[in-house]
Amino acid sequence: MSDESVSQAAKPNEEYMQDLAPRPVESNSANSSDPSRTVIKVSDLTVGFGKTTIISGVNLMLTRGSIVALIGPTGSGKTTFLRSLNRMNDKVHGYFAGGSVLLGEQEVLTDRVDLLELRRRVGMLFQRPNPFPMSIRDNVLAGVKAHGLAKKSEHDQIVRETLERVGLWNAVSGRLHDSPFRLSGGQQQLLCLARSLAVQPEVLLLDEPTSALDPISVESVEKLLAELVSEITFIVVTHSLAQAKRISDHTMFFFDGHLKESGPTAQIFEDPRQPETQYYVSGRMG
Amino acid sequence: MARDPEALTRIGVRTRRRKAASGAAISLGVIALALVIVPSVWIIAQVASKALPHMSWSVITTPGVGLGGGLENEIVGTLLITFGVALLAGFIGVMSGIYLSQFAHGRAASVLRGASEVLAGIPSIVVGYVGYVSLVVAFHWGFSLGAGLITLSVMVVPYIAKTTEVSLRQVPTSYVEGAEALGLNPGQILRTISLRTALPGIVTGLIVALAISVGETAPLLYTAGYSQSLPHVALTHSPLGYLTYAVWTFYNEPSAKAVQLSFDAAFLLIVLVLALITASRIIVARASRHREVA
Ligand SMILES: Nc1ncnc2c1ncn2[C@@H]1O[C@H](COP(=O)(O)OP(=O)(O)OP(=O)(O)O)[C@@H](O)[C@H]1O
Ligand SMILES: [Mg+2]
Repeated sequence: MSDESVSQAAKPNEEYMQDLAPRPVESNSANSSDPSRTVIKVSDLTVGFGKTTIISGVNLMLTRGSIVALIGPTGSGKTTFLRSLNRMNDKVHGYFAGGSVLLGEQEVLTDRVDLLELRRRVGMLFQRPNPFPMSIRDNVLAGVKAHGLAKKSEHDQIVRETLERVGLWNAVSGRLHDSPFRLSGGQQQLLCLARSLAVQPEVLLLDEPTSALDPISVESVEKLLAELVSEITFIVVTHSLAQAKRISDHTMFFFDGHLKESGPTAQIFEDPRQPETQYYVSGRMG
Repeated sequence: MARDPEALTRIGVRTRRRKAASGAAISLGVIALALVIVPSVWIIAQVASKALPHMSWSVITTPGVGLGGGLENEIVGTLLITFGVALLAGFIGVMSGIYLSQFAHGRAASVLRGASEVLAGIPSIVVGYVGYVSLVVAFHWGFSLGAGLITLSVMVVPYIAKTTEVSLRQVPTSYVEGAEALGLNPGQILRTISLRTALPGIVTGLIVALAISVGETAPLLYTAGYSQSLPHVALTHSPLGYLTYAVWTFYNEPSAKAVQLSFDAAFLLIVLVLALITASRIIVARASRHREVA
């Protein structure tokens, strides 16, 4: 059932993916694609802490409205890469980044970027659900209020619409003023998703968003991503190869701090070019 | 296991040993608890039994006259001082705690923390003496409400700063990271996430600090002086009475009425402290209603 809904909802962008299918994602030449469809462009990204370089030489281009899976062995730099895109590493001691990350026209790796607005546009969902210690309603509205996105009179409607979008409304409509910690783990993660969606992001970074969830919750999160992909670009770190296959249009394989290979998901899994990729997707590593 | 018939016996011995050990731990816990509870109950019962039989409204509603009268001036004085300490020490202590937990790094932070710990370790009578020499004498404030509450505040600020800092440090990073990832600015994160989460700890620290200052005598003897008339609300040249003064002084007077007043004052102090603790419990419960159950 989940597979059906996923492929259904993913159809519109499958079509346009076919136009671009032969192009490797890491293509660095902007003229090879419609630049208006590019949401994130990473050029020669190098990231490290202190004296150690963790990731180097990453080039890629993400098209609007796609789900991209980030796979690779543990310690290969997936989380570090993801957190560089919304500058969540900034506070980490010794962090440095070189190269360029463009979000639309905006360079991310510069002091001049408005960090708060960047993080509104590039949201993040964590591995462990982390609702705030405030009511369910306030959780949904936390970002909306902080960014002043809506008038107070519109808050009720936003809460309802956002919770409906993540399929949580029926479950929580009667207890909007209750603590979120009495929700199940899966519901908490959906609430966190709602919190992120409420500030209308363009990109959502998800770091193993379903690894703490039971299969049914995994299914609802995956379904939701497929439904939302027309508006939002998702980058999903996952250790589940099956999940990467199920939900993503593109797959990027990280290995030892390098983007070893990337391309349409079908190609990465069925016809990988690099021996490491082959090894990894056949399940013999990681 | 079949090959080792003694294995079962060994497991049995281990289980018994484990049970004995946990039994001993529980007994020690009960004893420790009793050592805390029994004296508190005993003291409260003693004071209440000496105070309640002759307690009357007039004790609360009339100021002192010589060695008789009531305790109204002391009650109002203690409340005034406590309220002032809550404002002054509360503000400075909470601000210092916020600064120490969020913004202070490296040397500045360790110097501040060290200074605060030294201050916390100075005996209250020494703090009182310094308050006397500086505020009462050098500043010409005389015995006064201002000198008293500043001196008491100096005593309890380190405590409030520490509990605030610790409570803020215990806010889970996952909350803060979630808020950062949502694009909240540091001030918003502090207000809507960190302070809210830390509130029970901060309030508890504040209330304990107030309870400590309610029970202090020595620093006030040096700085607030004493007066039998109702305190007038002025920061300088306003000596005033307070309950601990009555407890200490009247008990040593050769008059039955004075000794009675001394127990009344002690009883009122206990009631005040219990009220503070109850208030903190209510605030903590209200603030914790959206908390994660650990
Ligand atoms: N703050 C840090 N300081 C130093 N090294 C770090 C820091 N954070 C991560 N690293 C190192 O960077 C490397 C990549 O870590 P990262 O968390 O990005 O891996 P990952 O691909 O997300 O792994 P996993 O699949 O286990 O989550 C690891 O070797 C890790 O030890
Ligand atoms: Mg990771």
